[in-house]
Amino acid sequence: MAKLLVELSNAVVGMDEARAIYLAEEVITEKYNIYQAIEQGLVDGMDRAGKLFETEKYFIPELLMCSDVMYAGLDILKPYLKVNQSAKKYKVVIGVVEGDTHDIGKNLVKIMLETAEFEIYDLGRDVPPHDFVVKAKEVNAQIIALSSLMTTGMEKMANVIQLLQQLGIREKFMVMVGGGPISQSFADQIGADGYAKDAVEAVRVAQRLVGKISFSCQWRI
Amino acid sequence: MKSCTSKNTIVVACRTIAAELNLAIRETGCPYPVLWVDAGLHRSTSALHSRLQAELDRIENVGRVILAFGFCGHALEDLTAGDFELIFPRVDDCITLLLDPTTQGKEMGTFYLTPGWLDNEISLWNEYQQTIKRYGQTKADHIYRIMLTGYRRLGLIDTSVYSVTEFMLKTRKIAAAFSLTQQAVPGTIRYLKKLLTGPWDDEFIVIAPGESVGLEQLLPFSAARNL
Repeated sequence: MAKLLVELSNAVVGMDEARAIYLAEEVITEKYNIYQAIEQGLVDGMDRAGKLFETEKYFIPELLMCSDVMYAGLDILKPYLKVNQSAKKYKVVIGVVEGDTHDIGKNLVKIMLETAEFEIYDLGRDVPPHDFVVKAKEVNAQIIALSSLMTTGMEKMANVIQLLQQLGIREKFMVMVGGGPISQSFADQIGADGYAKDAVEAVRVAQRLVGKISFSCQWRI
Repeated sequence: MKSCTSKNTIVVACRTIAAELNLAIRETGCPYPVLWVDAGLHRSTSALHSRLQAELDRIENVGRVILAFGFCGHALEDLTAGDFELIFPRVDDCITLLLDPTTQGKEMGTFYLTPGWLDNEISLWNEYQQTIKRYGQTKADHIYRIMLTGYRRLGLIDTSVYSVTEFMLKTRKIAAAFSLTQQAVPGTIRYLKKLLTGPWDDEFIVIAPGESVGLEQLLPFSAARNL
């Protein structure tokens, strides 16, 4: 089993879809632990790909190919995953803000967050501030993740936070922001809870933010 | 438009817009020395920021430095001027600089190109070719289909420094590979010329000697008001 997990992970990092499918099928036929195969095989491979991306050994095409391989493996394994093996997920509403259609970054963040077991509600591109708030309320999300590559989008990010404040529900959601023109100082200025410079860091930020939610809930109790 | 001032001026510029800037220099008769910065640095905002600061730190004995750059992400944020005035255009990137924001803005779904962008080693086309070499045609096509989902057309900015007809022919294969239509888009070097000559009004950001570029200066006016 241990060897197979390493090979699954290697298949993802090595962008070898055929190999990942073959190994995932072996997990099923040999009745290995599905959850372990996902966590320590496929997800581990994606984590390693993320590290290579951070150190500029991999770029966006490589990261997208690795995620394709991971999803190919997941498609085979997921139907066999017992529901109770899947931990309760935190929910993230994500999208590119109104006026902007650059969504490569947002898609990468989505992939990396899914890999890290977040449940994603992707509103796509050119999303008005109101839609983020409505969706977050509807699905009872923990995080609203806003992306933009354009400076005009920065205003829309501020608008989402202002809307949450106006509705008196600002504290119900953690808001994280990212994209080309975005910086930590901008995130601080508009009162966002988190900023990530890339998709890999977005996972760490999201995990930190949901950690904060649990912490504040404990205090309320 | 004003003529060149006598103040000692140096231009720090992105090589991507070299042809357009050189034309603007010729047409305005502002023979300022230009320090060219490689466009490849755009890949990393922090690398571009560090390089620009390093260039500024090297400059002495001038009254004014003109940055021929857009904000390029937040590459300009926190740049500190030396003993000189620092001036740059109020545009998010050099596409906006060449499209002229007073007449038209960027359109969603359009991937803008000039020969300067295409010649850049990290251009869309070069990266696509590299991906094919490394991973094969099928995988490369798959990846670029994902990456270019939001785009419908190639906008070839006509800045009058090259033949649009030739550029149409040159980019035909790019349009075909990514299933985009081609369209010539009117461009201008008006903004670049004004950057060289002034007046440096609301279209520009002027940083006093020794001061730094603040975030609020880079935001659209309405966003800055809301903060």
